[in-house]
Amino acid sequence: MLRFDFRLRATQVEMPTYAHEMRPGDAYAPLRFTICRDLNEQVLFALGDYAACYLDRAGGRPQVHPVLLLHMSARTRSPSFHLAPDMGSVFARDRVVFLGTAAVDEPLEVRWTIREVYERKGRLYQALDTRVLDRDGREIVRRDAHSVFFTRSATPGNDLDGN
Amino acid sequence: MATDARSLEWSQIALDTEFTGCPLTLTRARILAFSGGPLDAEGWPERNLHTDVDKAREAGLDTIIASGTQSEGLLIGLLVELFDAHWYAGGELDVRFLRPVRAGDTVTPAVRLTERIVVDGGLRLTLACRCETRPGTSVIEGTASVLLRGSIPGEQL
Repeated sequence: MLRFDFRLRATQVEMPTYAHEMRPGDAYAPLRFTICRDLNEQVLFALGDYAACYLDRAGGRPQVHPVLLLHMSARTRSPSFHLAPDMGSVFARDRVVFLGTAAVDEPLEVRWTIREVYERKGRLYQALDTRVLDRDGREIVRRDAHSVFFTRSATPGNDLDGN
Repeated sequence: MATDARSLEWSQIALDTEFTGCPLTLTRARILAFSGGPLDAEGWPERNLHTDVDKAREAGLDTIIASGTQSEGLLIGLLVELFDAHWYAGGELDVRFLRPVRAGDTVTPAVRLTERIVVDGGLRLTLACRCETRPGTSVIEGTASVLLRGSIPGEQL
């Protein structure tokens, strides 16, 4: 079982760094959150997915739709995420491993660490290790997301996801 | 999906068999519901390139686009429908975002069985995945992998 390291977290929160300046090993401030039933059902509408497990569960709370765990684990959700002026960032690639489920109103936490910084076709990319943990500190989503940075005058044409 | 996912016998399904999810038109309402934040938040919707034309123009777009994660969600919904609890025991999805999805586009998720390997009494399945806005036009492409533990060839899963 994973244990939270509060001392490490306090150090990370203090970093006054723009996203594109971050380097391998740097971390965004973690986010603790819960998904309420209303927000879950809002996303069910957005996806047109009304499977019974997301609405009710015999003897338990409804399951959080898994895409909400991705939605909440975009690094833009970190309290310490800051883009430099006139700079944007979008998803280019997303590798996700699903290791468990979450229930509505369950305390969850997301942690982000920069794994790699690289350049391709003149653009700056970052690979980010993301972990979503359940109330017991167990990993329920592991994510390797690659984002590309761009300036307003050079918006990427295709690989857009406003993360 | 034409086939009832609960009755699938994965050890017998031919490679290259394709499963298609329900098409969904990403209306402005659905895009705002997904990317606008909680409906009861002050100042809803959150201003971003998915919800606000000015923000989209600041990013060099002519209009708002849907979050790529929203289309990815349709794909995940199909995978959960196909594999249920197996998906949450290490199901892997690796996708690339190829094109933006605009309000009014209809997105259809689809997966195609490409590989089946017997491992430790289970079946490891690999599937090619995509979301299309029209036939031949993918907005997302990638692969998915799932281990059906405890299954043996011939067993109905």
